[in-house]
Parts: sequence; structure tokens; C-alpha cells
Amino acid sequence: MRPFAYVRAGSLAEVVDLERQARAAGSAVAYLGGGTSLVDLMKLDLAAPAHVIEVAGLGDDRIEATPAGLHLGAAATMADAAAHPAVLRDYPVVAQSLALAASRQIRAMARLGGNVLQRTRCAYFRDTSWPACNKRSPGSGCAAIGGVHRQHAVLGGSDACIAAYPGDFAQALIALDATVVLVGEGGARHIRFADLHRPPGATPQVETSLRPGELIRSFEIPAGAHTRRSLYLKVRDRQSFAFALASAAVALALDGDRIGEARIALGGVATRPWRAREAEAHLKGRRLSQQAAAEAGRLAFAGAAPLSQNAFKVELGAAVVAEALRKAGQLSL
Amino acid sequence: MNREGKQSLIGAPVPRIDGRLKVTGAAEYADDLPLDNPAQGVLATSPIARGRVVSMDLAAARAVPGVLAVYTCENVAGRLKPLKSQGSGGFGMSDFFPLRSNDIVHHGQIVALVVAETDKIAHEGVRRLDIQYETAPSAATFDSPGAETRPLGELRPGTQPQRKGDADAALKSAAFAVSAEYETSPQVHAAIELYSSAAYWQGDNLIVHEPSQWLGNKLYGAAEQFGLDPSHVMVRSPFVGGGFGGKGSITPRLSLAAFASKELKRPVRIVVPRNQCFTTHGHRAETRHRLTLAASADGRLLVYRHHSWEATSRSDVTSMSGTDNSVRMYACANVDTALNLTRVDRVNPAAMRAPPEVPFLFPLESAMDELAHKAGIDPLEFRLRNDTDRDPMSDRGFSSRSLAQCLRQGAERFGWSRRTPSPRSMRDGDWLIGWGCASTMYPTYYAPAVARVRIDAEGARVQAATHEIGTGVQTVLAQIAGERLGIPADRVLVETGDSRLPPTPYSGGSMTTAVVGSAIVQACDAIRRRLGGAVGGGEDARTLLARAGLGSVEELAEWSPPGAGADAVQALYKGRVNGNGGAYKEGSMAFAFGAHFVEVRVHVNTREIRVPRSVSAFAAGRIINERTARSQLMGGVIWGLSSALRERAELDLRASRYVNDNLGEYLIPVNADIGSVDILLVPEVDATIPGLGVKGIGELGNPGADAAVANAVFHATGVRVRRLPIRIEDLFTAEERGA
Repeated sequence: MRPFAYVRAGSLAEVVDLERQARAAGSAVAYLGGGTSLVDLMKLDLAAPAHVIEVAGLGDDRIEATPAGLHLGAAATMADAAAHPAVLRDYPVVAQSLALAASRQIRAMARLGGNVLQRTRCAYFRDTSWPACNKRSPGSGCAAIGGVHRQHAVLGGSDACIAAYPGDFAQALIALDATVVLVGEGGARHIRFADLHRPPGATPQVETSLRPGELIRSFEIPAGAHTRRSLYLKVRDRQSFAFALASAAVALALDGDRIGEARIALGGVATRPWRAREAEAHLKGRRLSQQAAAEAGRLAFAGAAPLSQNAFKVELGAAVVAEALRKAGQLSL
Repeated sequence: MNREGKQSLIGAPVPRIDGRLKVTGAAEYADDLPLDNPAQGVLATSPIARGRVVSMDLAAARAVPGVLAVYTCENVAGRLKPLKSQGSGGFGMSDFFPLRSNDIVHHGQIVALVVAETDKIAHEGVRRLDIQYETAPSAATFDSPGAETRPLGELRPGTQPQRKGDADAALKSAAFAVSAEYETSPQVHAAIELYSSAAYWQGDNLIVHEPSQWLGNKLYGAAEQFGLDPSHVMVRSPFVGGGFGGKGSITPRLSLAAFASKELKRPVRIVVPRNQCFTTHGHRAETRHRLTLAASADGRLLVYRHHSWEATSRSDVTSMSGTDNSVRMYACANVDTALNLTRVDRVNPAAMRAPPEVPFLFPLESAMDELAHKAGIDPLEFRLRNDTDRDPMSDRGFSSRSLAQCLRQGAERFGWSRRTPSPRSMRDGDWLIGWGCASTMYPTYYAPAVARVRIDAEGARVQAATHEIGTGVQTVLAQIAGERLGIPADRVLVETGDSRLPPTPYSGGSMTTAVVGSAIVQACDAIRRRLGGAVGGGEDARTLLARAGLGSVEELAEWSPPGAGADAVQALYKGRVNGNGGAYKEGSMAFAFGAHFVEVRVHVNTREIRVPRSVSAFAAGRIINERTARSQLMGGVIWGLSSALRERAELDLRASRYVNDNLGEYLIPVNADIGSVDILLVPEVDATIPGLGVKGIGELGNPGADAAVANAVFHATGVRVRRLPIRIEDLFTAEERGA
């Protein structure tokens, strides 16, 4: 770990100002929330900020459900959001995606804002002694494509990068059409959560559409008939403290025995938070049946580009989507 | 009950005397021992697997304020005597010793040691080393270009495979036969306590703090390496945070700490970060097996053909040779084994808990299940039918053998009779249920041990340079001494983990309780004799002491089992262990046996695999402490479940290096993965086992459990997985879709 200056500020506005000054002086800056991700990255020499600015105590940590929707302050801990009664009751997919992530210790420290910005678990990215990684060292190549890629993405990859986006919470946010409120030197702005993460394309080192110095203040999830009938299903190599091999965030609004609206997002299988819109469209207006769920699962992976070791994710992912829909629709086998 | 009608301490579930120390964090481990102003060392390791260092620029590292020294082959080679492996007559873990030349022979090889005022500074120094490499092609594992496969007999002349009868002829006449290939994955020890070394000098005396399963080896190894009289070396390792075979031999890291300490004239401490724990030490090598089993129409095993391949390094001939033991499992007239080694560009493999049995019983116990299924015989019944009271290879008897009792009692507890034989025939809602079983075995080894016992009016003190590697050995030894001296266990102080204490063998081969316990018995009995008391226990030795008008009595006992040889104890005083037992025991052969029964549940859609419960029954001679025995066996079973479903050091085949060198990605079970693990202790008395009649339980629980899981997965799904660990993708196969 390299030496760095630890900075505390009095307000988010001051944080943004400090960051701007440091950046103008050519210093790399990182914001410190819970630290569960940043400290790891610094130890791995993947982040080498000259200034670390504490934001955990300054940001919005409010969790509030109103008739309009759910407000999640980015400074709230994963644990607090997962245990909030309104989240558990009205947005179960949010609570479950958080509760099934990481470990109790990490959930108690990690903040929602940092959670969605966590970086891939690709070993070739995380260990700097591997020479090739386009995300870490643009133009150096991708070691995973010809190497160990069992955990890697089958959706959204490029010739430059197939690293999977590892998070769970983001799948709930993208499924529920969340908006992200950002603050930066130009003040606040709102973007769709779906636009926060960028596809790797030829520039996998650019992971988000955040502007320099910008940080996440909150997430806003619009209310809807579908949010209560929602869940997060996560399949992984062990029952806790593991990233998803394949997961699905689903939400359903039923209109009698027909599907009024379906929301499906996929984790562990794509390079960024992933919405399965074709699968959703297929379900709309249909009766929810085993067959429809299975078809939706297959459609969700219609565009998959698997490699030898991660090919199973196509079938597994489809099964997870179908199973999640079945559970959400309370169908029995 | 002993002869005075008091409850015997032997067998009693005495709670661990170190339990409170451990859960409160008060227990001292090697790296907790105080040092006077230590310098901190961090190792730099090779990012390539094969090739050479072409240039090293150390200036930037040396320029970091607080960096004290940088050691590389330039200032170490020729000044530090290399260690040799035990196989070559040395004390080390490999014939390869780093920092002798610019050659790189494995990924993670030590190329430099940076010593600084703090570990953070030393890490920064390592980061600033500019080392350039020239990479040569490397062989990662089996099938890699450049890997060299040869019969073990060619690499180690004199090695004989186990052969008997005419397997080819018998195969022709057999009613049922199965033939298949099996594979196990590399595993690393991954003990929670990181590897570490600290060394300092007091004049000509070298003091080392290092987690240890074999103090004697480190003591005599260091003495030889630094040209010291052994009395000038001290090794301390009070508590050990998991060994599993990884903390036995003297390490290059210890050598470097001692070397740097001598140069810098202050203590040097090196703590190995987790990723380097994967590569600066050996691992359980991956194995391949080709098995053919055949049986008669009435389910008698006719053929056991087992050809195996183990991966090893270029520098050493390391083979676990598991068929030497597995051939004793079942009666069989025609046996044909062959051991092969594949030499690859990796660090030399090491012993890991039940080194031969874990990788070699998986294929045998899987194939037994396959053959039973093919013959239409219940797999439990098939095993019982092929039980034997004679070793099929030598026709010698077993000192005791309770495999059938374990199978029957385990099955009874598990409810095996309710199993329906067809795959996919048992189901609970969305979950397919599978029940599988497997046998396990572990040889009973023993070796000389020395212990000192002293008694005074307060109680007894037991001293032996053995190792508390997490097993509860201090508690067990206190029980043994208490029993023989007629005093409560809590009046016995047990001192271990210091090489100044009387020598004992390595804590391996599951023999610590048996051999150190037997030495303690001998010392206690000598005390009683001196005090004129009845030998074996009974009257409180403190009463005898008072009656004799003595303040204290001390006895040193050198215990040596029959067959160990006249020089065995002297060898122990030189850091050598002359062990015997198992298949090599004089007269009858000595093994402990057991049986596993496992229930798996496989989700019908997602194919997630769960293990909600298991029952394992073991018979291992005398059990000294039911509580610690149960815990050890339970830990063994859990490791078996881990072998079955999680553990695998994942190799990048191009780079011959691991990609999951951390505990986040090297998967071991979490608490939520482990359901009910029921352990049944089947009573067994074996008076022919030297000393206490203890067979040892440290390793017995682990082997076979992985096969029981694989067999249960087959029963649940109809998919036979012959490669460990079993992963979810194994159940998304063409075979599964057809099932």
C-alpha cells in the first residue's frame, strides 16, 4: 500500500470542493465510505489515491418509503437497508439482494453507494502480477479469455473484456428502474441506474458514466404494483460469502392470471447490471406458467456468448430466471 | 471405572483445557511471542513459473526510508547452505532451495527478501524491486506440453506396485465390471494461521518462532544448516492455528529469517501473506486414476485394478502411493496397481491430511458404488459382502478391523434401509434426494516418543515437545497422566510447543496421542514404582509422595514401540522419526476403519447441491476423550465434504499458476454449507496396538467422505461425477438432460 493523505470534510459540498482542488493539482482522489472495497483495492495496488476523503458520515443515509417510491441514501449501510421494515415488506428484491451479499461484517460496514461501484472479481484484474488485463492496463490484452473464466460473463462482453459485474444490489436497482442522484462540481443531476455502468466495449477501464469527482447521493426507486411481488434468487458455489454464478432479480405485476408487467435482471452472468428486456416482453400479457417461465429464461440468454468454462451459465442462468419467476408467481412444480 | 471405583478419565469427554484461552484470544501462537525490536521481512516471489531472472535493480527498494536490507541470490547464494529434502537425507521439504541462482522453477518462488523497520515499509520495498524475467514455457499439470510422466519405479528404483493374481483373466470371467477414470484437484492447506517465521540470535544461539508440527525437524534442520550444535538452537511454537501437514518441515523462510537476523544483528520476523501461502509451500497434488473393478454374479470382488498418476515437481519425487493402503480395504483375488508421476513446473507437493487416502479412496469408493449399481446390489451390502479379516495382499490378519460394524451401525443411525435403490427415486418437493455411502481407512502408525513427568504436592507437570495443532492434545495428555497418577486432569499442567522439551515425532500420521501418551504412561508408571505404589493408576500419586516424605519426583521416559529398532530413540534425538505400523506392522497389520453415509439434495431446476446431513461411524481402538475425538472426526468429515464440493486450487494452464490464491476465491465451506454431521464412535478394543491401544483419529474422518457425496449425487440425479470437486456445471450435462 502506498502512502496517502486521509481527509475529513464537513459536508458533501466541501468534499466535492476538496476533490476538485486535489484533481486540479494532479492528485488522485478516492472517496472512503465503508472502506470494504477501497481498502482491498489499495492493498492490491489497484487503487493508489494520494488523497482519501471520508464521506461515510456526511452523505445521505436516509431510507424512506413513500407512496411515490423508495428513497435509499447512498451512505446507508447494506445491513440497515436490508433490515428496513418498509424495504422488507414492499421491496423484498432489494432486501434480499443485499442480505445475500458478502458477509454480515461487510454488510455492516459497506455503504450502498460504494456497493454498486464495486469492481470485478476477475483474478487477472485483481492481481497486478498478471501482465494482461485491458481493464487494469488498457491495451495489454485479456488474460481471462484464454485462461480461467468459469466465473466470467456470458452477456455484454467484448474482445477486450469479459469480466463479470459482481454485485447483487445493482440487479434489484436496474430491475426496478431506479434513478441515481449524483452530486458533483456542477451540482446535482439524475441519471437512470441503467445508464450508470457502461459496457466494456473497447474501453473496459471506463466502468461508469460518473463524471470526475462525482459521487452518488441516493437511489430513487419508483413505486409500482410489481415491487411487492419481487425476489432475488442467487446461486453460488457456497451458501454464503460468495459471488453469484447466476442470479436473478425479478418483479411481477399480475393482472388476474396474466402477467401485467415483468422485470428481470441478471447477476453473475453479465459485464454490468443486466436487464433481460426480451424475456420481460415475452411474458407481458401471458399466463404465468412453467413453460412461460422456462421460455423467458431461455430468451434472457439468447444473446449469450459463452466460452468453454462458463458455458454452463447459459443453462444455469436460464434455470435461475425460470425458478425465480416460478417462486415470484408462487407456481408449484 | 478404574480399580478404586472412580470414574476413569480415559474416554471421558473432558472439555478442552485450552478452550477459554482460545475463545478469549489469550492463547499464544508463534507469531504472538514477543521479540525485542524486530525488523520485518517480506518475501518477493516470482510471477513466472519457469525461466530466469535477467536483471534486478534494487536501488529503488533500498532507497525506501526504513528499508534495512534486500536479500537476493546475489548476496545469499554461497552464504546460506541450502536445505535438502528428507528424501535426500536432509530436513527440508524439497530438494529445490531458492536464492541459489537466477533460475525460476515455479510460480511463487522466493526471489528476494526485503527487511525493513515495519512490514508496511518492507511491502513498499518489495513493490519497488525492479526484477526482469525471461519466461520459458512451463508445464502446469497433466497433459501440459512438457510435462513428463513416468512410472514411480523408474524415478524411485525399488518401488513395487501391488500386484496379485491375474486381473486380465479374472476380468473375462467376471459377471460385472466397471472401468472409469477419476480425478482429484490440487488443494492447499489454507490454515487460518498464516505461515510465519521469526528468528534471532543470542551469541551463538539461534532462537526461532515458527508454527510447527515438527519442532525436532526445524531444530536439527536449522542446526545443520547453520553449523550449530543442536543444543544451541531453540524452536518455539506454543499453539498452532491449523497445520494439516503444512507446518512440518523446516522452510526456506525460516532459513532466510535466521540468515537475515545474523546479518542485521536483530530479530527478523516474516509473516507470509495469504497469496504466498499458496506458493511458498507445497499443496495436495492433483491426481488421476483409471480403475477397473469386477465382481462375480454373487457380488464378490474379483478384480481391483487401480492405475494412478500424481503431479509432482521437477526437483523431487513426491508420491503419496495411496494404493499401498487402499488394497487392504476389500477382499479381492486379483489386484493390479500402478503408480505414475507427472513432473510439472510447480512447487513441490506436500503432505496434507490423510495424504494417500484422500485422493486414492475417492476413486475406489466411487467405483465400488458404480459396480454395486451395475450388479443391482445395495452399495452397503456390496461393501459388507467384500469385507475381509485377512489382508488380501499378504494374507496377514488385522490387529482389529471393525469396518463391518461401522457400516452396519452407521447405516442403522442414518436410516439406510429406507433408501430406494433407483437414481432419482427419492424426492422432497423441488429437491431430489440422494443417499450415498463409502468406507474409510487410515493406517495406525507409531514411533518413539519421549516425555517427562514431574509430580509434587500440587499436582503433575507433563513436558513433551509435541504440538497443539488444534486437536486438543494438551487435554488428552492431561487425562492420560491424571489417570495413571490417580489425580484429576485439572491438576496436570501440560507443556508442549518448545524444542527444549523432550523430543517427540511430528504431529502427523495421526499418532500423537498414541505415542506421546504412551511415553507419559511409562513416565507415570516409573514414578509410581519409585514411590512404591501400584502401577497403572489408582491411589493418588500425591499421597504416595507424601508417604515417601518427598517433595517431588520426576521421571523421563523414552518410549519405543516394538519393531522401531534399537536406534529409534537415538534417532529421535537427532530429528529423525523411525515410524512403523500400518501395513508395515510386524505380525498383524494395523488400520482404523470407518463408514460415511451422506444425504444430498439437488434442486430439480437450479441443480444446487446441499448436504443437509451425514452420519459417519468410526472404530479406532481406544478413545481417550470422546469430545475431542468427535470434534476431530467431525472436522475430518467436513473437510471431506469440502473436497467433494468446494476445494480446488485453480490453475491457469498457460502460466502454471493459481488464479484463486485467497480465501475469498479458494472455496471452503461456510457454516451455512454444513448441516448435521453425526459422528458415531464404534467401540473397539485392540490390545495388540503398542502402548495405549490408541489407533489415532486425526485423519480417519476425511477420506471417503467425498466419495459418499459423489455417490449420493448419483443416487439423487443419475449423474456420475468422477472429478472433484463436483460443481453445479457437472449437473448441466448431456448425461443429466438424458437422465
